[in-house]
Amino acid sequence: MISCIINGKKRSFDIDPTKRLREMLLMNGNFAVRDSDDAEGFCGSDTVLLNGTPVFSNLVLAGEAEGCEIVTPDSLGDSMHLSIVQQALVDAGVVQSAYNAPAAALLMTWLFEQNPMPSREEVKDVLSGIFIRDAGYEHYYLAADLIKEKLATGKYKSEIAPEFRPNLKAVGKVMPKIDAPQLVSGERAFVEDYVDEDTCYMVVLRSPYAHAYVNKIDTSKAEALPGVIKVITAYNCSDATYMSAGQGNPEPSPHDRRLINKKVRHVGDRVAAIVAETLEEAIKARDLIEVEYEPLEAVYTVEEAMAEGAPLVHNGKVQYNSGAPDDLDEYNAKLSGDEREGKVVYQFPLHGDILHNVAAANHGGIGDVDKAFAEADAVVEATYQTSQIQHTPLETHICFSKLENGRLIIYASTQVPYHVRRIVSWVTGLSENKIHVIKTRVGGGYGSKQDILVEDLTAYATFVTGRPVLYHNTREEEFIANSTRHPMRVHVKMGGKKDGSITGIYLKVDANTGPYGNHALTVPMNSCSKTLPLFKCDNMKYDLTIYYTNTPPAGAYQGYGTPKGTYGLMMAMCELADKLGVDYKEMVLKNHVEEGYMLEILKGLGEGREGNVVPVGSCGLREAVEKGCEMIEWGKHEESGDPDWKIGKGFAMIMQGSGLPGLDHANAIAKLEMDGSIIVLSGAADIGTGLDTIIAKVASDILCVPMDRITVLSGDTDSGAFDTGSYASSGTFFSGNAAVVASTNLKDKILDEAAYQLGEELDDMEIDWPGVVRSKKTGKELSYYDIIHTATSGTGRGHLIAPGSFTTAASSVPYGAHFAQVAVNVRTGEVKVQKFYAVQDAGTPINPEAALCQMYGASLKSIGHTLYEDMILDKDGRCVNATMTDYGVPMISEQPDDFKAVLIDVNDAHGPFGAKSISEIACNGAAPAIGNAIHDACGVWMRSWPMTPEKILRELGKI
Amino acid sequence: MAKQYKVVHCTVNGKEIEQVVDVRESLTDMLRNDLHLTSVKKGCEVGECGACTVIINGEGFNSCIYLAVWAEGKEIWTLEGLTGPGGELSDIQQAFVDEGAIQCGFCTPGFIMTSWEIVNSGKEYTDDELRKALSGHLCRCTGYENIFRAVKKTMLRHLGKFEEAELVNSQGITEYPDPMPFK
Amino acid sequence: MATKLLMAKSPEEAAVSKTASAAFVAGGTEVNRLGSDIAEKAETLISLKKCSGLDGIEADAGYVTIGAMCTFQDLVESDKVPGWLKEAALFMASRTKRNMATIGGNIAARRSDSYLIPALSAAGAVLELLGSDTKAERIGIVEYFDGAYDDKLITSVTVEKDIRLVSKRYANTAQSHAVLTMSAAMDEMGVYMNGAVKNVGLLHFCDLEKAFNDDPEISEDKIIEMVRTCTGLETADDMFGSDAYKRYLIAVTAFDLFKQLKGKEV
Repeated sequence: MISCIINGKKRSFDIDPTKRLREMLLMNGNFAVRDSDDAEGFCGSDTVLLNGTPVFSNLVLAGEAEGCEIVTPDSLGDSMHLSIVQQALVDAGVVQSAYNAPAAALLMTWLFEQNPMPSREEVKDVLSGIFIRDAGYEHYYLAADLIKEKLATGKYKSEIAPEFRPNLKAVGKVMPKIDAPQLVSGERAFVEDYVDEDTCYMVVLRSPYAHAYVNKIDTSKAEALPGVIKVITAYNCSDATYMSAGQGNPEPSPHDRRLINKKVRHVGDRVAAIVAETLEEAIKARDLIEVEYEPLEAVYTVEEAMAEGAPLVHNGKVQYNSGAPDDLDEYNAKLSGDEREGKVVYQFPLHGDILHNVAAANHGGIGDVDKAFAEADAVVEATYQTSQIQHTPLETHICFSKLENGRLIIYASTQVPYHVRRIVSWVTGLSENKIHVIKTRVGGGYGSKQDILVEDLTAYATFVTGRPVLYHNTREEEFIANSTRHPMRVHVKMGGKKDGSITGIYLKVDANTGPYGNHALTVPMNSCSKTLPLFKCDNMKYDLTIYYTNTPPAGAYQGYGTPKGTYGLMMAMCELADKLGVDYKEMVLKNHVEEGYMLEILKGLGEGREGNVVPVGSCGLREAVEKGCEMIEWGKHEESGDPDWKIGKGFAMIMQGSGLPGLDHANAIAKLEMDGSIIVLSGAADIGTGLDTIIAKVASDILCVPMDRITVLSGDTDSGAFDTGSYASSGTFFSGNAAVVASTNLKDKILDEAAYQLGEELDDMEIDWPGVVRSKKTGKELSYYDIIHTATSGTGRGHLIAPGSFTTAASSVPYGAHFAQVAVNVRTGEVKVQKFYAVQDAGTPINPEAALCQMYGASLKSIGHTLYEDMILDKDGRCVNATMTDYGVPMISEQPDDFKAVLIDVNDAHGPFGAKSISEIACNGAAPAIGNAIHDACGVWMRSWPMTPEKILRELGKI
Repeated sequence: MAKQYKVVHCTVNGKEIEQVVDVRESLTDMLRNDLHLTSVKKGCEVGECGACTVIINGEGFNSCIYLAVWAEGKEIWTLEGLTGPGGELSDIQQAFVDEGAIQCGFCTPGFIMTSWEIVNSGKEYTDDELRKALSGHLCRCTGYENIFRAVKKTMLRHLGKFEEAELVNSQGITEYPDPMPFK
Repeated sequence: MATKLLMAKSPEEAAVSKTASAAFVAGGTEVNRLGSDIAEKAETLISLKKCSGLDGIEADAGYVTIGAMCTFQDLVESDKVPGWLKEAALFMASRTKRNMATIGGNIAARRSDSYLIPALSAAGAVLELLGSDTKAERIGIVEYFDGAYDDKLITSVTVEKDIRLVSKRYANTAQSHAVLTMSAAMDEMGVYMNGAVKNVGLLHFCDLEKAFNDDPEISEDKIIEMVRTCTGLETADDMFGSDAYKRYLIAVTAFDLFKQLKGKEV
């Protein structure tokens, strides 16, 4: 028995002393002590205080805790009684996906107990033990200031974020996210907190080969183990062919996989799923499965995939659900048709060609680029290479499913609850009314949870065994069997005139989609569709080809192709300016689009169908460029005082989208409850970004009801209404607008009901705070309580419930520019980012402090992929650095010394209250900004990710 | 007062188990809390309502007044054990469903275990005897009629008397076509 | 998989319990972490967390004796610890990890990306060891790595306080494993250079020491050429960098550290 004091209470545990302290704390119910790195001692989600010192509880043995005093993060305060530290984190906007926000709160609490006036360096030091992926670290310094101010004077002094739209009470105002108290206090929030005690556990046997047939699989020894319930393999699983991308149906991605395939196409591909009563038994059983593999030659790069005679990743059969080419039979005759290959089904033509490892392709353009190049004063032509980047969410992929009365209940950490429901329906054959998907809070998605990567298998396991099943990715599986950015070879040819105008742009993108085609067409398309429309250029051409390879699978990641296209184009633009002898800033100002400019280039850039040509709407681009250049003192050369360190400046203009016009769809239902409070049922998926808060805020301002009388229930397929989900930066724009429509419809119903109850004219009714309807004519007033009470009485006309739906063909594009000042050591190749300024227009920022933190978080992620992050594969396709330490995520030490996010105020015509999107666009600027800055510093063009010291030294000719 | 623990070995729903229990623990708590067999309900905890009924060595017992340590060496069945591996309902369960004998469902598991003992006894109970056999169970929702009918029909079917089973009317009375009873 | 945990109450108890199937656990950041096979292979783990007398820091006659269980953070916070050793401890960028990792543990782990070993080696640190026969002995740190002392418990580390010593560490991010950590120290006898090269090991750069000692004005190019052509150096291409990069970095760093030492006042 091990006795210790936990949160001031004496506790004893009957536990093996060699087990980890964290396991003992879980026995005690402290589930907010989480694990993000399989006990690597890196992420700090498992931080606790041991005898007053912060430690990683995963690295302390239970026996070592005997007689010790332990404090866990959930002891700081519950969601109704937050401590000063917890409240400050909430108010500063850093509690976003928040999987380890409780641990951060504990560290900050500890810091302030040692010293009520810590310096910035001391805050940086204490936070060096925690990995924050969503919000960056900048606003933690702000939270520290707020705590200091609160402790000294009883209130805050610092400005948390600028506020917008003074005529509105909630929208544009700094207000805590409605889920933040629950998250920072460590209350039940994530999938792992809702798992039943009698759950079974599933583990997956994964392929050691990058490319092989699975000819035979003997599971008898595994199934003979006592606690093993079932082993699912390609030979006994659902035969449905589908794909994992969470996209609108019909998807622009090939359906090219089964639940488990008879051919494995990457190291880590599913071979078998083992369900057992305990995790230990499942793991033991996994080791007893005997598999006969027939290894095949593999391809890992686009060059290898496109080579003559390359091995084919997909070589089965091709089917079209619409738009089949006339020569389909002849085409299929050339394929092996081997049953083990499965098939590739296109919902509509994607210009795929699996005989040449082409997953999809697109070509198009406007004008005549060849003529433009011929007439140019200078032409620049270069190839840029990006690498395979992982999201590293703090919460790895997880799913818990069970059967209740013939219905599949699925607790999912997902961005796309309705797409999950549909895909589970395909895989199990159950109709959708029998499937209930509950999106819990999500501990970081960033696009990785837009793919249905674990819910299909977990739900299927429950379906065939009848048992509740829990599946949780290890961190290694998160790297190798998940989804990553698409590595792209971006070839740019750009021509311009001496006056700085760009006459022609040619963009050729060869992208690597890995073994399966989820997002194969759409991610690379973004590298054109969210970059070329920045230019006022009449001659633009693009050729996109996407290749299948046997690398770990690629998929959706914040930015979705745009970071790579932006990188290539904006660096090429800088190279062109250099060649022409023109100032880069002048070139940017001369060539960027403005409000009203017709974006002809969009015609060919729909997702597998014709795109909408629209004029540029609200556009803060010029302002962003001017502001950023002013902040960074563009044009002023900086000296470091040390001959080895050269300082340079660079920037890049950026854009994204706000959802997919003509494709995305959102719904909400607003209800007036019996005491005049409001419940909004939304199909949206708040993944920590604050979407639920946005929905509450728009309802608040439309219905004139204070925020604490509004509850938003979202991401639950039973209680909500259809929403395509959180991707393509659609949350605020689509889900937010659907909430606007629903709230407006409810307002209309309230007014109508009030007019009826008062016996007056509808036109004389007006709505006012805090939830009343007044007659402009007679001054008579009815509160919402009065109205709903009468409406739901024995003679009432009915509960006031209003649906709202939103689709649009309009495109609301957020714009911005990111600026970097770097110092490069020309002897060692080291790069330090001294300054990074993210200047963006997001229309009306509905949650200003959360918006700034989104910008910080995304910028830091993109600084990561520019300088540090890379998934390295060996010659057999195995990822050699599949741990947090070796992969290279930026932590607080990598934050730029001077890091600022600035919002440009621009009102959009289509967004809810003028809002546009903010989270993806902030991933696009760092790579070209830093690349251009490095050139400014030491004269070399860094044309591949990551821009490591070794590469810089090679470019400088030192090695 | 120090706690005393004991290890209990028994068979539950066909599976051999070994469970450490507090010597004062009831069989209900062991089944519900330790083995997660939550079909066993706590309605009164004093042996009056029958909601906790389980089968021990073929006989129905109120598990709330049966100490867990008494289960040593015994064979125990709960409602979970009557359901097939693919979720198939046993005939007595199906009969409860078909006859509308389930409203809130709280008394149902206990009722079914007692009924299971009855229908598998091989004995044909008269209506009065059947009522007496079921009297150890409290049901607040249904008024007992549908339950009685479900058990009677199943008992008859188990005895091979399928036609007679179909003649049981909504009051639970077998409506023979002519005045002479079959027997 | 370790099944037994012994919470040793004294260094003697710990030393006596050390057998081939037992392993010491100091801070836990090495033995207990993902991927460590120490806990996998041992049957018994001997935790030193409750051992008396291993976490003191004593200063005496220009020397500092640091208990082996002193954490990296203890080193940073103590005013008795010399600045060059604090700098090496701060190479561990995670404060929470510094709260746990120990100086003794870092030496015993002998990692090729060690935070402290290059500095301690260049400083000529002396270790006090306790064997399973409870006999104490003192050896130089270099001898520790050359000899077979794995079964002995490190109880303390003694270093000279006022020496000129500079260090440099290169890693992808501050929390990544270092590709190269180098330290150089100087006294009236000359320069001492030690390093840890990832996937190669702990190195004593004798050739470089000789080069600098023979000709303090030697050019950087000559140093670069020397390292580039050195056949005894087993650097290779791997995920931390190419062979050429590592050799270049070692040379440039050696040159920089020597330059710093020449101009450095104690």
